[in-house]
Amino acid sequence: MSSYLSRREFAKSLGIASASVPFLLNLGSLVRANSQATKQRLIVVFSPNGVIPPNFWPDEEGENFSLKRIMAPLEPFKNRLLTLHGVSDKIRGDGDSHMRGMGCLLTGIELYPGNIQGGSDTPAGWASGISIDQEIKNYLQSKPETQTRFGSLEFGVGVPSRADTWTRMVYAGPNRPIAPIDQPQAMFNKLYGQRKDQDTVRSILDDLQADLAKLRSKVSQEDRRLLDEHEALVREFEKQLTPVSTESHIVPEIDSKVEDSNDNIPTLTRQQMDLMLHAIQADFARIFTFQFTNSVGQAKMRWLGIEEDHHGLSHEPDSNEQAVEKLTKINIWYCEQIAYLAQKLAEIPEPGGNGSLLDNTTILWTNELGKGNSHTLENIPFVLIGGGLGFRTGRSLKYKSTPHNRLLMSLAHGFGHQIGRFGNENYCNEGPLALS
Amino acid sequence: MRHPKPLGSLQSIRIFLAASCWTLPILFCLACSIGFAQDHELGKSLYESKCASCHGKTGQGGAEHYQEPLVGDLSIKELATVIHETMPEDAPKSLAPEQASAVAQFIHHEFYSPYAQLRNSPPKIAFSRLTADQYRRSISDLMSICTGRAQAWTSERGLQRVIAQGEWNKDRKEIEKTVDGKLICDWPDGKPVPEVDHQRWQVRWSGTLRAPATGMYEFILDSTVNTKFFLNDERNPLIDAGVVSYEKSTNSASIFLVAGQVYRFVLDASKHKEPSPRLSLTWKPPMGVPQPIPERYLSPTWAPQVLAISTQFPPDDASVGYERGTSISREWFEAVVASAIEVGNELSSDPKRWMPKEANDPSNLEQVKKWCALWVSSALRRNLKDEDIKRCIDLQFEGETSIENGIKKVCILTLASPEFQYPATTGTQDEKNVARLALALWDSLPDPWMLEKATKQEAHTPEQLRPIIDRMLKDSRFENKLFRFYLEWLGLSFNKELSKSNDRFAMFNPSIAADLRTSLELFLEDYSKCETDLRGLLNADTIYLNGSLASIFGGNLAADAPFQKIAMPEQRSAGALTHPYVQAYYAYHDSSSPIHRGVFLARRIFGRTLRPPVDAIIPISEQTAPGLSTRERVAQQTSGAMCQSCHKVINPLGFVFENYDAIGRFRGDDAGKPIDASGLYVTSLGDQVEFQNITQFRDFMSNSPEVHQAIVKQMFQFMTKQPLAAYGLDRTESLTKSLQDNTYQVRTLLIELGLIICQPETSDGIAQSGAF
Repeated sequence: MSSYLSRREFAKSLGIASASVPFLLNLGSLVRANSQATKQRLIVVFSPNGVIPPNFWPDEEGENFSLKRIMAPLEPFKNRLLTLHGVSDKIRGDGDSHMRGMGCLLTGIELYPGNIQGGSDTPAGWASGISIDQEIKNYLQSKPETQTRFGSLEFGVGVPSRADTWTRMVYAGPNRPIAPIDQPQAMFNKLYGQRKDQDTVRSILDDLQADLAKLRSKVSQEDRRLLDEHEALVREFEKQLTPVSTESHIVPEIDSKVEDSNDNIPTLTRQQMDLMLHAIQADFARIFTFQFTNSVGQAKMRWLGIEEDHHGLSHEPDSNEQAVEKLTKINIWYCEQIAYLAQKLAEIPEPGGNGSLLDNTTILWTNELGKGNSHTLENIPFVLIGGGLGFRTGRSLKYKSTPHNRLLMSLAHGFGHQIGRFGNENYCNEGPLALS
Repeated sequence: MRHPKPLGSLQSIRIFLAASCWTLPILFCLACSIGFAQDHELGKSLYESKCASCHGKTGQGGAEHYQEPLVGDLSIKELATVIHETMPEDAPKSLAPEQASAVAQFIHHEFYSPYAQLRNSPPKIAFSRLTADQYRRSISDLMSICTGRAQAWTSERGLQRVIAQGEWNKDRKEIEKTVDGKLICDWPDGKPVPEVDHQRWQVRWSGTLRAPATGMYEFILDSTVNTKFFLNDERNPLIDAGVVSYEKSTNSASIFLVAGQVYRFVLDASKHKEPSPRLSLTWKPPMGVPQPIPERYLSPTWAPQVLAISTQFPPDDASVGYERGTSISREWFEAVVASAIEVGNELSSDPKRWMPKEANDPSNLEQVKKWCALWVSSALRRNLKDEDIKRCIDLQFEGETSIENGIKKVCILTLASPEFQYPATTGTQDEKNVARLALALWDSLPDPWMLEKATKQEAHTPEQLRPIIDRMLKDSRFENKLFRFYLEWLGLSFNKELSKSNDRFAMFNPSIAADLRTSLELFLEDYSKCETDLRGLLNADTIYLNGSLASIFGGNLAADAPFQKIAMPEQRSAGALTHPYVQAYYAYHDSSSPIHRGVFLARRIFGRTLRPPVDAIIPISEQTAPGLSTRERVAQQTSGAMCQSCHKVINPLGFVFENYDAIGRFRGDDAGKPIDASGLYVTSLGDQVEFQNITQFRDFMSNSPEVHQAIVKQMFQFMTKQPLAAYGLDRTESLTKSLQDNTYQVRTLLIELGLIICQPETSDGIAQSGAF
């Protein structure tokens, strides 16, 4: 994984990609006052390589159900939970299951024919449509009352530094994948870079004034006019910088020395989740994605005592009990991270509103495959936590091979974005899943 | 009175008012003639009684009528005729010719003539900041001091192309290495050379690209194989098309490039199982059309990454005919801060990339500080004293949590500092000299060699400065600046879109317009070296044509022939002036425009001052005056006495080019009548010169001292961004003489220019004459 950002990436990450935007123009929106009473949020968390279904899905249907081992960490949130068994990724066409599982997961539409060859299936390119998170983001950003500074933020942990169909699930449009930011420092720069820049600029303004005064003494009376104007501009500029004391939100501290490596995945995950929590409190965005590694992710969870890589293990047959146990542990670890996030959201009161952040946030935990060794796109893990979209939680729902396009539509409808179809329209006929 | 609607940039007619050509001292002699005193007194009393109420006592202009100041460059004789025929407004011709002549003499001497204007308010060297363009170039060059500069271009054009079998880091085997600039490839056999197998081959083009103009470039990659395109930055692709979606195989990205700057260029393609491999990389230059990247902008040489900023600056004041940094604004200051942050982020996010190779450990504070000191000194164009190092560097790292933050602070403080922004205000005289030279000849910073000369105090006598300047003239940065000057001199700095009537000139499409611009640029590039006889710009009979241009403008070339130099019939050619792009630029969309051409010649080529027209109007259309030629229509429209005060200069110059139609194509007749291309010009001394055709005009023009003076003065001002007269009232003459004495090569002229700007100044901003 690359350990630096190019200037282009950096500028983009600072939100000043459009360089014509004057430095100060963006500052006012650093912390946006928002008048809307309830702020709805969606966090999509992706973990790869399928699950061990018997250790994942509740056996029961309805309100009385028990959580299996993998989802046990979510026990404290059982009444805020909605598990959707039987929802399937029906999209076919080019690309292997991992590719389609990833590329069609949030887009609900086929991949373009292309040059990326995986497994034994036909090669494919990028997805041919926008992903639902971006669709909802665009909807929210189109209205002043739900507009936020970024609209959406794409987090990642341990995402390889290659751009291909296995590493991208978010799409701004057909053929337009969006890369997750998998380094906390880069995400920090995106969120707070401008404010750090302001602090840096503030710290040199006195020197600048002194330099101007020094130069002033060296030029003629007439030439001083320009320097006087210059001095006035510096003073004016200083006044416009956001005063430190009025910031409503504390800039988090992050340890920039954590190397972007496999073994640091737990630390990086915590850093990224904390940044996300800060971003939520500052209302920088309403839509978030959090991508653990990638489709075919090969994390080696040595911190769990597992030396083999995740994807390699996921190919082992069900008869390999050791592998099944390890895969269960891997998925428990992912679930624990989600539980941490949910816990924090439940603890933090909604700024300027009622209840907690979790009351207004829905986490959607998902995966590119239903089961690793069969590479099935049936029964894709879809687990919802929290009250953001007004779904009736505390239930285990069972569907019969229902296209996941319907779930994607439900997410949009949860935000009041009443779309009649999403992705491949052949899978939208029955409308959104009724989850409320 | 009605005037034709101005074309584009011609609207700022006032441009040369303040920078007008000043007349020769012979006028002084006239003023010294015997009758001067009597005529002067008569002129004075007549002016005060008949003219001053409207024009003001000193010709400054009235509150209600004739608000424009009474200044210009007509000879006394011409001025007398105008006064006699048009003034006073309520009773023209009421003054006897000798009375009009006395008034003309009086006002010419007191305030009208360019010389009187300079005498009454001598221009000063303006205290200036870097222009946006200079700022961008300085930043680009700043890091090259640590990373090295691009290799000089050889005569070879195109890129180095390497074809290999296998995969990177595996079994890659080089099959062929050659120079090639064609970036549109279709491989019908599925492979570029027979020696590779269908799967697993690679092609890599590498070298450098030179941007012909400043602005936003769009690169368009259409590829069915795994392709990555890197520009300037060799690690992060500008276009990453590793994943190809066959139905949408096109990717594009935009990047801001600076004219004349050389950028590292790498295009990597590798094929695996993709069927029907093909690839094309094209571009859309600023104001251009999507097109193949011309090979002449590509070289197989190497260049390091340059610091390229994308912050947009507000445009600089160009009201006097050249961009200058004599005013500041809030937008400017914000852009300065934003760009300083941009550079600070770039340096601090990956210091290793920008540190010198021999010491590039970003975790070693001492190394980092040393590196910072090197480029702070380069940016400030002087040696750092101990106190500077303490304040600009050491203090910025103190108390910082990370080295990166310290780097960023040093960077922002330096680039936003007045010392960087207002060059040559501090340092020793030697340091100021090299800073001024670098700005004037390169629009950039002095390089380490020059700074070393300054440190050794070897940059203050003419003997020391001459070789320094001479060395600078050989640098591609100078050649590019000279090239940009010629574009400015022709009034073509802004590459505006040329569009012509589809009914009349169906063949003149955007692609032809772009080719014409290219053709002109190729011509000007030939003159962007100091050793060329500059008169060729006015009298050469060659032109660059390709197949498609030749089909319209003559020349016997195959339809797909590339650009080549072709001799045109001598009687049709006057260097750059008769280039079809220039003629088409100074024309309407459906007809020629003698007025625009005449104004162009009078102002830019002869350096004359023209008053702005009172209002802009629509010219008489062909329909309302059927059967008239363009020449006849223009003559009719501008026949009024008031119009004639300027149009008697403009029209007879513009008519000379009537052989060129709206797209710059040679023609023999107009509206069924043979072309009358005769014209005349009255010199600033009052001599009338007549010409029957282009050949006579061209010969007159290329030997005219007025034309030489005009180009010298404009060149000086373009280079230095200062008025030439601020360095002494006789400078135009002396510089022109050095041009004439050296077979019209600009080398000596530019060495003189360099010596002039290195003169120590007095405290009021006026250069001391003869300071050496």
